[in-house]
Amino acid sequence: MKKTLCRGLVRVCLLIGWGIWPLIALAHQPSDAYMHLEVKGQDLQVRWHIALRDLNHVFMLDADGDHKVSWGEFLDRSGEVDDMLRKSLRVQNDKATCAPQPAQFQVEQLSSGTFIVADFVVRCAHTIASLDLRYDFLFEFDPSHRGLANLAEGEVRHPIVFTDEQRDKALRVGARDTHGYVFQYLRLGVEHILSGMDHVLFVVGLILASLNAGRLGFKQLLLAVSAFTVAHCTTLVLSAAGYFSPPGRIVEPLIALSIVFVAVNNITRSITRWELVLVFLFGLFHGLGFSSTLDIVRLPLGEKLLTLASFNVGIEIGQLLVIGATVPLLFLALTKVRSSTIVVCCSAGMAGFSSIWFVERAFNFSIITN
Amino acid sequence: MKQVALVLACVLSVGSIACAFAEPYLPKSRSDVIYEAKAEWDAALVRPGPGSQNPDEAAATAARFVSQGERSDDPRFYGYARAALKPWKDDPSPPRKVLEQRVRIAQSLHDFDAALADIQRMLHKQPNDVNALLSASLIHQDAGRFDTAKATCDRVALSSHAHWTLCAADLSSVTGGADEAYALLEQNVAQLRDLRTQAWASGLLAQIADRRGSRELAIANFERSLQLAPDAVPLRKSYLNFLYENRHAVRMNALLTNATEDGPYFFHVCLLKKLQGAAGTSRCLDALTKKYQHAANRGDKPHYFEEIVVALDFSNDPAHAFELALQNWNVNKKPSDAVLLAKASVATKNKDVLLSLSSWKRETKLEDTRLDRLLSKP
Repeated sequence: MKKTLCRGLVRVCLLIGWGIWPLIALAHQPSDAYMHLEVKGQDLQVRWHIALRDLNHVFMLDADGDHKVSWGEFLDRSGEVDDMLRKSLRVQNDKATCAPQPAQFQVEQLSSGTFIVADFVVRCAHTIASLDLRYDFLFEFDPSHRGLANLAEGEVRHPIVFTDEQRDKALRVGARDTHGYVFQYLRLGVEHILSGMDHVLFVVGLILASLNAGRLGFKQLLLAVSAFTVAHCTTLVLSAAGYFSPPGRIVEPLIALSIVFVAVNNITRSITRWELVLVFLFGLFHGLGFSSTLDIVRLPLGEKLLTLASFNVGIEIGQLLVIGATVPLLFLALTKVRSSTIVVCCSAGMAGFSSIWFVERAFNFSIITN
Repeated sequence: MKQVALVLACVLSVGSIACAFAEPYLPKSRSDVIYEAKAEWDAALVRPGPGSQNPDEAAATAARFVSQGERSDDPRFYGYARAALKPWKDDPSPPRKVLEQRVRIAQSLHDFDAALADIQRMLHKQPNDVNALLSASLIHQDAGRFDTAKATCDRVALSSHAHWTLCAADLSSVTGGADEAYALLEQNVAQLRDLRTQAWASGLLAQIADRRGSRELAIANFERSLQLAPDAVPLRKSYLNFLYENRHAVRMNALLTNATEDGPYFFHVCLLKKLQGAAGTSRCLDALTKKYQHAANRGDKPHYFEEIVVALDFSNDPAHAFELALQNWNVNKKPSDAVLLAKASVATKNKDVLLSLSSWKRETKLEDTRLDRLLSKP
């Protein structure tokens, strides 16, 4: 479910980025094709959206002349379409031509019209490092056509606009502006912790745990947050670098369970001696969760380290922001309400939410998450 | 009303988001219809792409695509027309019929420099070509090169007095002779044999009447021009712009009865909604804004007129309107461009630009009551 949501959000961002959402169906949109390219080792995965209006004009798909194109009419010509697509996108890696595989076709209704979605892989002989792309699609029919492409390389996006005059694009995969790169991953780290309610709640749980007899135990909080940080850094590094990668269906429920545990323990105060060890243990799970955001296995060592360092610093900044926002609120609440009431009420809420997350993630069905 | 609009906005937002989250799908059966073509636009479609090497045939194909482009407002057809003429793309001296279509395409795409270059080639081969001279005169006039426009227009008189009155009156009407221009054109309009040229002349009369502040006369002339050429998209757009300017929603509504959201009049449908305060205005604004952003992403030229009106009247962004109006003014000097710049300058309280517009108006002797009202604002 979470994956679907993420995919949906990525699509929204891409569509907004290209300005085609939420365009209502305007026929006077020019001829544009949208292409999402993703580097995966020695493969270039291609998802190509082509307006059916263009295909209908070029291939005269409407064989029976009823001004409607049926799926069958498209399938009858799909071999020619496939052939044209593969000839229209030439991919070279280190000057060696890569081989496009046959496409799978689907249909998608975007707000700017109906599109054929062609999914295929272009396979290169070696891991992709230096890409030369040539796009020749539709220009011989309509020189004002544009190929609006987005090449994804891990978290980095390279927007490309192919025109009749600019059909070639050379890309050094992995080469990028260091400052921008560091900032990008730093921001990703901050966003990741702030957008993930589970991580925020865990940190809030640690703050509540350090509240004793109406006073905030700063030393205790510092120790707990440090243990959590060291732990999640360790597993983040190991997992993101590809040494250790347990599946999300195990890690995600454990993260939810860790919040249940901290919340219940805040109410019962039944475990006090091994609290730091447990926080460290839970931090290990959270680190594995963070690493799911990164895909850096293929990066060279230097960039791997830079990515991890930037992302980690981002996570720490996010954590400090959560603490910085929660502690003043807590002090304010303490002037009106007894600390035990705050701890019990907040922890009960946290326990409730995280229990639902646990059930959802462990048994893969939706209660509150959509 | 507000609640209805709110509910509608919510439904549309949810719909849009649902659409963005929609996944590609495999149709269930071969008979599933996945696309419905616009019959009236696609019925006569010939397959685009590299075609005949024969210039007459290629020019005829290009002409058909350009006509489809004008009727549908779909820029694809201009692309198809360009593809049909590809063998002569870089030919400095192509056959005459190819040149004619190249000029038509360039004008449709607002590439006036390219159009003018090809017109010069046409005139080089046939110095008294009336249509080429009229087009050149109009391009020079719209760019504010009035002396060149007059010299070009005077050459028309050598071939056709009736056609000369078109460009002479048009030019005179923006350089201090509006009354005489109107009288001259009115006397000669009946002598024009071609109905479309008569419609053009009536459209000119309407614009002159509008600038002179005679709304009723402008409406009568616009109506006559539409009777003569009911399918002339630029004329109808010009009339709709006039009606919007004069808050004439009833007549706009009548003209847009059959207009669809995917046709050439979407912008004017939005203007009408704005005038009527109808639901869907914000959806219009959203769609238009995205359309302009999309055009910018593609590297297309801005739709200056539309974008300035949208920035001023819809999105309340006078600074953006002023920026666009100034860019537009650097290349286009039609009275309507001056009015747009004046509106944007009034909205942004830019007195310097208003002063320079006043001085330009004095120099050119342009008579325009709309501009007078804007420039006289304190």
